[in-house]
Amino acid sequence: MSFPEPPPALENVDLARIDGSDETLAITPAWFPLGRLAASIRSVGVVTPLHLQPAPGGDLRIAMGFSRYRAARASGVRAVPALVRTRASDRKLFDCALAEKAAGPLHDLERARALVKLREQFGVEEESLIDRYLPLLNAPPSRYRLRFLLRLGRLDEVLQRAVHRVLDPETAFRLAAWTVAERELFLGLLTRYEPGRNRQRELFDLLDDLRSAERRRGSAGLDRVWKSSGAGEADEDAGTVRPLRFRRILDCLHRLRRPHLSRHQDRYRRLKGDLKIPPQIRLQVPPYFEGDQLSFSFSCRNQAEFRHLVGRLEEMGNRRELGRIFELL
Amino acid sequence: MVSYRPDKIYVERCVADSWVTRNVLRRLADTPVEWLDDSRALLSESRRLSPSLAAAKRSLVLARHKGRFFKDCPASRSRGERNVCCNYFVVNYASNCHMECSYCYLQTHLNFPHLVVYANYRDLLQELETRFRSHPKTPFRVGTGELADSLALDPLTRYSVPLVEFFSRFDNAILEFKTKSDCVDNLMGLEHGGRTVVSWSINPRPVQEREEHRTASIDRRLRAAERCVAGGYRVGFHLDPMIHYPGWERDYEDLVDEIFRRFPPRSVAWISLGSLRLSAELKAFMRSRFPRSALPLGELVPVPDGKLRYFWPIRVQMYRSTVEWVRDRSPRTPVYLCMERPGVWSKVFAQAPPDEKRLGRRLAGNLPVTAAR
Repeated sequence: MSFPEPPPALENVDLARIDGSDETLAITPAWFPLGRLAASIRSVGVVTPLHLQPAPGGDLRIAMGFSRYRAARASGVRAVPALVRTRASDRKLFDCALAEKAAGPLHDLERARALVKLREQFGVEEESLIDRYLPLLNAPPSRYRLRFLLRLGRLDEVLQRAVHRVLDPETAFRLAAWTVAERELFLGLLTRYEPGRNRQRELFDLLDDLRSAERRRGSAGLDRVWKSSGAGEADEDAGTVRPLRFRRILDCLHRLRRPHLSRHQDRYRRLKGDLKIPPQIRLQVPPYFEGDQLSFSFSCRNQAEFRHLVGRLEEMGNRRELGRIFELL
Repeated sequence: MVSYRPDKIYVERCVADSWVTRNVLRRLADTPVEWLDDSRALLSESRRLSPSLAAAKRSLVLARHKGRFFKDCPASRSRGERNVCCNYFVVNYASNCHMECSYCYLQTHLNFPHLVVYANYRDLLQELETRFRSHPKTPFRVGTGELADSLALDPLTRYSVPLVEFFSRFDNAILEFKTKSDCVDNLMGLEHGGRTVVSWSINPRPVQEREEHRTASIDRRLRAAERCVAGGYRVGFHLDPMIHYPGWERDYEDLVDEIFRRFPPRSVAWISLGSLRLSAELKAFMRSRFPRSALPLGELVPVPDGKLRYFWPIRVQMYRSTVEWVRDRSPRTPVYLCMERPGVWSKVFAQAPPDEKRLGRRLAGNLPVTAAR
């Protein structure tokens, strides 16, 4: 990607002359944190010049260097070094901006925004996006990847911000189908409980399945699920510590989503409690009771303890409750 | 069933003279054809472009199968503690399907999205002949419906004709076509010698209408089955995947009842039962591809073979009830479970699951050498 015109002269441009709100050629979303850039500019000023272009209203608009511009403003800098590009087309400038960006680390949201612009603003065909631009953006050249990034780039800002912060992109795509109030509820849970990716997906899958089932029945969806499952009450229980509250929320939702399994689990807990198993003996059922064997393990420090445990095992072997636990498999 | 009409046919030059290729090209004379030296280039191209499944299925590829046709049924891979195997074998002479069942595992299973028919059928027959002759005492039940519907493309390929005639020559082998189509015209009048069973994957009408898009209706499937019985074939029914929903009992009992009202028990070779099973990937795929489907909302749990299935008491209840309905109407029709663990077999049949070889022999042995005509 070479300059389309002879390199322009370096100027020192007053920030007041630059219209930072014109994001036609921006790749990084304006809300991205500036990180160490602001600190660096505060300490040594803007080192790499911005690329600017005369805008129709007389101001200058930014072609490259949006983050440097924002960081300069935030740092109280008045003027920045810049190259004013007068002859290059938007498309050529955007290509240059991409080449510059791709030289450093890129976030998927930046790749996504660039591809959406190329597709929708500049009318670039999908084939060309796959063959030319995905490799340029250090992404594998496949339609699957392109589709993923285009979907990401088309998410609204609320969801993109959530993806940047904590939200799994695949969850974000599905969350986009929810109402604003439903999304707020889910994103609020993520903020309050900060679950890891797996727990986040578990929570979303439960809510999404229950919401879909409710909507099929013609009811209001998530609001009803939240209240009828008891999850709402668990969420508001200020007397319980956060991790336990989150566990209770999941438990309430699981009960509603898998009623047969929940009843089975309750029965198992009851029977296991009735057996009064000593803590040295561990009894395990296969996950989801899908298997034909119970597993017993125990540990002991000496022969006397061993004999004692064997006795307890034998005693357990005669209990009706144990037979009933076997029947749960 | 919605008939298959591809937008384009790709043909490998090495199968240009195949009888199957000629059949397809004759019946689709207006469809553009592109000749290829090797269809693998098409595979790498489609991996790169990953067209949507629906788009990819609009191309039909006629290729030479380069590996072995004859394989153990994939269920045998999880035989033992995880699943009871019924000693079944498969030959894959085609891959992919133009019908659109919401729950179909092919959606996430195949790495080649086009419809492919392996036109080197003589190699297939040769391979089978070698296998059957080298194990003359082993009964082979061989199905063709693992990676494709057995008969949906038959009006174009006529593949069934050499297969049925080939199997009629062997006493130790049975061919099973499994289909959701009503494409049985080519089977009529063939010398099958009682060695071919034509089976239908079947579900109550509401399930078919909601979930089995572009397939033949249940009425058409049953009418096609009646034609087969009239042609001297025995038929099979696979109630698979069984779906759990409010009112399932009435619908499945009605279905069993209809089967035995329309088919004399001696014409029914077997009935298999299986419940909905999805990989987590397929569940996500279904949610986006068939958002109106209620199937992913069932009470599914992960099981040791890696799939999601209904929690076992639900499965057992469905199987037990269905077995009873079958037994009430036809006590001697063999009923078996497809891809289920031994514990579930024991609960359903109130006895330990049979050894897989015995089970295979029992199912194969249910067919006399001379079929009921």
